[in-house]
Amino acid sequence: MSAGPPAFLRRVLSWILPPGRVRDGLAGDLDELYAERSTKSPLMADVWYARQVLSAAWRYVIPRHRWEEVWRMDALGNDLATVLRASRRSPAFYVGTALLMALGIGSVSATFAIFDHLFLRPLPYPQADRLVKVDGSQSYLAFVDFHEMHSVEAWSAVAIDDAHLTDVGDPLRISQARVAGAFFEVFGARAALGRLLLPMETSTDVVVLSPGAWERIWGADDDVLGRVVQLDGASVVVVGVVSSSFVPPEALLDGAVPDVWRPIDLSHPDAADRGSRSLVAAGVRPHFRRSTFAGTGAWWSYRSPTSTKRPSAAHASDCGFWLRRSRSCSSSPVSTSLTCSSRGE
Amino acid sequence: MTERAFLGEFEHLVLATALRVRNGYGAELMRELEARTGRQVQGGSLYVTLDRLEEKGYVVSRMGDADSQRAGRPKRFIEVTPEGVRALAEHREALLSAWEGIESVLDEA
Repeated sequence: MSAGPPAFLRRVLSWILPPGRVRDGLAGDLDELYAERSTKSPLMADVWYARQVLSAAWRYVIPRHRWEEVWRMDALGNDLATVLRASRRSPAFYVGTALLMALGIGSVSATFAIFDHLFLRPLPYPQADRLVKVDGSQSYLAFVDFHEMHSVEAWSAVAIDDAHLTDVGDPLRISQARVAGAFFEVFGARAALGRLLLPMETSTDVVVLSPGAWERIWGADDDVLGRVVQLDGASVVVVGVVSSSFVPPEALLDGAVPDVWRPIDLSHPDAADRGSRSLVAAGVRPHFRRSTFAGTGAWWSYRSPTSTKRPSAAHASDCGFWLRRSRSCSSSPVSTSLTCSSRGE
Repeated sequence: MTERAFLGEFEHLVLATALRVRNGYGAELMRELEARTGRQVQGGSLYVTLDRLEEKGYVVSRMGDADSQRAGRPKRFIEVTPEGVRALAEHREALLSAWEGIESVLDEA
């Protein structure tokens, strides 16, 4: 004995048909005819049943006293059929029209998505409109110079890499973020347990855990505070756990979610290397002004409030601090570069 | 000349089929209609037409007993009333009158 019609369609039919003799009679008749058809071809029987359900919907969902309106809807169907027939005679025109419509709809959707992300959905950080991301080749030592600037209220540097955790059973490869400066302060993070890394804390033997790693690796154990763990062979002390309400800035972390947070060792020889780092300036002051847009980057020229000399592009390029616009940056709609005139401040 | 009630195309087919099948039920009417006309019949259209014919007094329907082979759903049996037979006859007369003189053309088509 074959299976009955698709259960979903049967439910739809029961919902469509008025109760009583219509529902009992018609549903039963369709079941009987479906059983006959399914012995020849179950697939065609399903198609047939679906068409029957559509017909029933057409006849019974729309009240009979509105049949004239239905006739007008029928006319709409006739018009659509006419258009389809006409499109066969000149397919290029209709295909081009469809593509143009798709382009228009797609561009509107994309524009709205960008507008939504930039203006309607603010970043979950305090004073996000004053956050500036600085990309490009600079060393951590340059960060120290930036920290001397008066044009910003706070700076932070962040880099992401992997580390090996070796005292929790099998060695684990985890994601590690190294930060310098007032990173947690800039992004308004709070501690769920213990404390976070202090501004300008450079001691590298401390670590802060992410809530995910704390639950996954240490079983959300409150006694994790003060525990010494081995990261890449170095002993580090767990000083805190970040609150789960903190949203790591994905634009600075290449989309990764760090498991642990550690300070950057500015005394390490690698700190002087020029590599790609992410710097964030917070609380950019008004005289931090944009000048021209050139090539793949946007240039900011900083005019010191006490200086009348306008920095030149050559001067800026000597310092190598020009920056490219980060397409993945979700922190601020501006991309920045700093000219070396800032050094003279 | 008495006022004749013209049947719609599908009403005519359904009424004629119901008269042939004699006390048949929905599924039987659908099978017979598809076999005679060569086109697929939608159950919703059939039942709406049966309701309309019943309102006009051309058919009467009654529900049978619960049928275990139809998941307990009873059959709806249709019987053509004398008024329905009369309407069908009048419709046939009208069609024959309209076809008068063109039978050969229709035969060649």
